[in-house]
Amino acid sequence: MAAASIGLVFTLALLYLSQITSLSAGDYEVQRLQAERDELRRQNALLEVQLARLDSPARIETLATRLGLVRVASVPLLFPAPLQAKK
Amino acid sequence: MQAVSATRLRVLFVIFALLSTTLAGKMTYWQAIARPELLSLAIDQVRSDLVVAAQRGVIRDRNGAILATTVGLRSLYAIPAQIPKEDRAAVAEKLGVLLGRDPAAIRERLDSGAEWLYLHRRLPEDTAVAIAALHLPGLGFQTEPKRLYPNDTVGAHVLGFVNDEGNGQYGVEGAYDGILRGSPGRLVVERDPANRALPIGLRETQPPLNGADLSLTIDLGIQTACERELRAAMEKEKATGGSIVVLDPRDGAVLALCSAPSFDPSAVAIADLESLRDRAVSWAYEPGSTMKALTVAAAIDQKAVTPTTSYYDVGYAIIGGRRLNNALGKAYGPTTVTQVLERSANAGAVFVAGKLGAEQLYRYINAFGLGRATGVDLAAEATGQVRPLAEWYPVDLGTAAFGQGLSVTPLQLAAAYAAIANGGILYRPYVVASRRDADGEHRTAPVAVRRVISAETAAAMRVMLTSTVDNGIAKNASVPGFSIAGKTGTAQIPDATGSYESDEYVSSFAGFAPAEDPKIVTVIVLERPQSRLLGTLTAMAAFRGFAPDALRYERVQPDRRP
Repeated sequence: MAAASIGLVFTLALLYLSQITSLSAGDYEVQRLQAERDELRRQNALLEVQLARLDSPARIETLATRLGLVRVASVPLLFPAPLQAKK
Repeated sequence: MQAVSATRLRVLFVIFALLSTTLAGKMTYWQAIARPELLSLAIDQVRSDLVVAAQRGVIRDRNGAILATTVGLRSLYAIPAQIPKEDRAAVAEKLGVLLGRDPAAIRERLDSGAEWLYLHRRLPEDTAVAIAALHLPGLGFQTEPKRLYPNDTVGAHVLGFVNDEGNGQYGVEGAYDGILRGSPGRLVVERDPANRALPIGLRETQPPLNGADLSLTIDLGIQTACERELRAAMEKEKATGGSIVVLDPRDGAVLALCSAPSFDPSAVAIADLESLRDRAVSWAYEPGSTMKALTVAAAIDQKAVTPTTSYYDVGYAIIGGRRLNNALGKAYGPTTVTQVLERSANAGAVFVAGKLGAEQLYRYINAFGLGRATGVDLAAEATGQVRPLAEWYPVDLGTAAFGQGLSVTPLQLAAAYAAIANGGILYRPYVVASRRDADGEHRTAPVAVRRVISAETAAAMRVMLTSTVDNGIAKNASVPGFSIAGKTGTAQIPDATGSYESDEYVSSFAGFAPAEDPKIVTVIVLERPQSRLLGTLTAMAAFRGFAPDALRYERVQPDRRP
């Protein structure tokens, strides 16, 4: 009876330790994943900034000028009224 | 012998008793009285109490393009003791190449005796990655927030900047600092020797409240076009300052707002202080002849004149015993009120003001919003100056009629012209269209301040100002395919003695398009242009430069055949 009790207590203690160890390992994994998530978010934010830089109209205009492109002098306009008259 | 032993025993007993009492007392002291202090010292060895910074809100233009955002950049630090002395020269050499700095200066810092020091704050990501790949001993990275402006100097005065302490200053960053910055949180945890939070132990978390994101009324495309034209005008005229304001007359939304000289919000430390001033909002000038449109609008609204009322122009007007001349002393003969605007006749403006009277002119000047802040949601707005009617001399009726003796900001004048453009309602200009926080999106409701003139008067003014561009002094502002309404202005600059500076002017153009159903209102101002009286030509050229872009971005269909 005494031996069985000691065995039970020992088993319960082992189970408890195992749970605690598993919990700790899980929490460290959560921390690692959270850090990874934060880093990915940071990288994403940096990419968004880079995208905004590349999309900047001022930058595109500067590049176009460097390539020898010029602003269109006049834009030909088509008015809807004559087109409708042809139908 | 027994007596000696008994004495010794007593002495030993007393010593033992004293020691035991002292020990017990000390134990009681540490266990009961000093326990909190000991506990605190023990906890401090493993506990970290961190302030968790709130993320500053993102600022976007009306189409969602990022104008300002905060990103964590890596700062490089060193623990010199962990870098072997014989390796420090090589480490400094490698870092010098990647950081673009003198290796000797880096070596000096590594040998400074500091236990821990920053070598470079907020590195570009590419540089940080390159340094990390070297796996140098004793170096590490710490992430620090950095406010980034992807469009560099574009919109600098609208946006303002964030200083080293994280406080927003000038522009939207300054006016909305409290909303953008959010509230920091707190994280208290126990940590293991590897600086990881212990899973089972103390953990108190108060999450930060991130700042709200703002969507502006600014259109990045229109803003960029305006800045391009302002820059070109400034270079051509060697002007000391300039500004362009573009409003949507239908609700007062600011579509573009630029000021020169400008600055880089990412590098404010090296900016000239004068360049920080937003000349569209925080600077006032005498409006000159652009004021004539407001004078004529007031007189027509009061039915003191009509567009066809005429007078005989002799080149000057006498008022309050003073002679006020037309520009260059020109005499136009028979002149209608419409032609007063087309020819920008000072004598004609005095004639119109005389029909209106000082009290009514003063009332309309105030109704158009001159002399007081518009209430735009930007930091440091100037009010301009309109002297109280009680302080007016008789001649002031004449000079005020053509924009002398009072001062306005470009934004005030744009709001006043917007009232003419939209049918007579003065709107409060605004820059923030909406803010998004944890509770969702909150849109800004446009504010109609008051009706200034009747819809009929506004319609008549639109026709007259269109004629000023089609047939008059503002002909150079015409844009193929669109009806344009507008008025030029050339104003002298008052000096400290109360008179005007010799041969120095402020040139401007105020107008809107399409004239029949206006979608944009603009005011362009150039301070001290090199071409003096011809500065208005450059101001109109700037309008002609950006107006087609602005109208295209606004999806406005041409209303005239080229």
